[in-house]
Amino acid sequence: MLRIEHLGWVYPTQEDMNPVNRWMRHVTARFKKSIKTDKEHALQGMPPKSTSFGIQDVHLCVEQGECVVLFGASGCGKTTLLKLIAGLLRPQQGSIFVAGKNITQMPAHARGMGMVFQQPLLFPHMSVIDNVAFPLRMRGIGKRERWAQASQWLHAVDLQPYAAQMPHRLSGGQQQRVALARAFIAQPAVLLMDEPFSALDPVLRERMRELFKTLQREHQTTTLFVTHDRDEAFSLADRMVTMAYGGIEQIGTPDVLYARPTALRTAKLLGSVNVFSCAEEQGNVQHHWVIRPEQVTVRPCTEEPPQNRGIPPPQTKQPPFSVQYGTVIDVRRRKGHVRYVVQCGHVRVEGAGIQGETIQRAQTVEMRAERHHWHCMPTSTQPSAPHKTNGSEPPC
Amino acid sequence: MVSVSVRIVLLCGVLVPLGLLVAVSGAGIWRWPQLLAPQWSWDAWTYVLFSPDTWQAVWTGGSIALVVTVLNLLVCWPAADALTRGKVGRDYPWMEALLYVPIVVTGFLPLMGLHRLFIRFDLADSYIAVVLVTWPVALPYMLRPLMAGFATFGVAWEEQGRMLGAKSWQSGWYIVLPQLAPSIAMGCSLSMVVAWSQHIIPFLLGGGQVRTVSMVMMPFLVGGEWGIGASYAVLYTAGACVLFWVSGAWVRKGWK
Repeated sequence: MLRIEHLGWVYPTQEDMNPVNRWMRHVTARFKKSIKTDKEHALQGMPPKSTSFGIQDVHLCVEQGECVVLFGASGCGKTTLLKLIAGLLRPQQGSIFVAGKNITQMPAHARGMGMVFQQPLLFPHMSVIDNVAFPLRMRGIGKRERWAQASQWLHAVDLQPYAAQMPHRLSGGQQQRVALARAFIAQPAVLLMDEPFSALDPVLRERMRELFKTLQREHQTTTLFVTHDRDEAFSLADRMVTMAYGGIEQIGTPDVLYARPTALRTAKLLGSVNVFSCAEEQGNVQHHWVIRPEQVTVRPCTEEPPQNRGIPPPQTKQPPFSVQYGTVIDVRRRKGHVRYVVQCGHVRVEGAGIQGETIQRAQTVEMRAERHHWHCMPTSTQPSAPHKTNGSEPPC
Repeated sequence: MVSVSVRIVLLCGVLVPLGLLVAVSGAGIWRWPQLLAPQWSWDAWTYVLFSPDTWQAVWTGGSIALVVTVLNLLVCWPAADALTRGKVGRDYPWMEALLYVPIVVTGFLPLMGLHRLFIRFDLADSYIAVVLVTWPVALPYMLRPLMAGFATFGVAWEEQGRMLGAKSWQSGWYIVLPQLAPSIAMGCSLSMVVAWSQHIIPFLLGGGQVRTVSMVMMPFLVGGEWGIGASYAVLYTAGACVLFWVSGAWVRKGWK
């Protein structure tokens, strides 16, 4: 079991920088108009520029044999968090526990973790079997024993005939399978996967996901999997963690996150592109109404639409619309379905058509959204507010 | 296919002078305006190859080159690592320029200053003095290939090694060293050739006590013994070529 408490890391810290660089940074910030001030960053819900990028007060718990997916946009700190856990970066605050043991100050090689990177990173001067047997060699296991185990793992990833080959003779997918076998052979306490399949083509990626899931379940390996691919996240996760600006936004099962996101960024990450902001009558607190495109039904108008089309500013208690009319301005074909972008006054709404019905551009359409599909959430003003948890997640 | 210009440069810059040296070493007495040497003999070569001074000088020059190269490797490995992948290179980029100073500044300047220092510490006219002064001269030639190697290598493989349980020394031995072998070999070959080819440093700091091939060759050239002088010059060049070739073989082996 992996437990992370109050983990924090900032780069670059002012202490890290030498006086010349600090002065250069100060001068650049003064003269370069495009650089945003800390205040502007704070208004946009981003961390202050002076502290730059970092991981802020992260709490996370991964149960034995569980696969937790860290999901977020590029640059939100997923890989940095993984490297902090791996020991490749040293946290400035917080603690990391594996099976109850504090490993925060342990060097990376002694933590008993495995990591698969985006690139296979096979050692080019070693054969495939030597690559797979490398972790056993580091533990001082004899050649015969480690080759026997490596052969078994190569068999598991269906690459036994390539054992004597050099890595450059393998395709990208094969290399990543070798990297998987190499990570699993060490029987790591926690397996960290840093977007391992993102460089592969979609078909291969799908196969690799299946292979990984089979191996992970078979060996009950505790896994933290980083991805920015929504399909990958949903297909692999026992639980999902969404991240933004170096902090955790929400933790929950994929179903819960999909149905009830608690933050706007999470909702957008998971596919809610229709967002309608509304202001409370008193105070500054804002709310958003969100709905997924597939929950907005678009069909051609059968009767004359009303003249004054457009969505009025929504109220907190009332969803923006249940029936609305507009003009199709774009038709987007996706895997097995079509999405329509409908201009409705000053607002654009993305919706899904009904199978068998074809709608052309510039056609007037009717959009319907059921009330229970609308989801209202408050605006998060804090970039790294303590993450909201859902009742479905295990206690930590 | 070697282009014509390269062939001309190769012919004029290398083959013609080398051919003339070989010819002079085989000619007994060859004076102006004789177009060809009146007689050919092996006398000069016999003297050079069977003189104990020759092999003593080859050993001294070779050992200086070897010691300098080993010292360079020990110093340049961490320096190149820090300058390319570490905080030092990022925060203090001028430090790299400082290490290339021996190429830019003439060797005489530090040499004269160091000579006075060595006299004070009773190190003048010694083997150690020659090694210590040759060392910084050859240092940039080791540093540059190693920096290129580290820059290409990056940190990802080492990080992967650490995640697979490799301690620092295991990571260095099993991952970094095999992959940097071509850079190391290139640095070694350049450093050896540069260290072997120094003639002013042994002359001034060795004070005649540290006899390298150039030191043995010089009296014959000054004294008009052109045949023997040319034979030593050919041996001097051949020594540099052998050192380079040995390192080159290591490059190929490392690459495989």
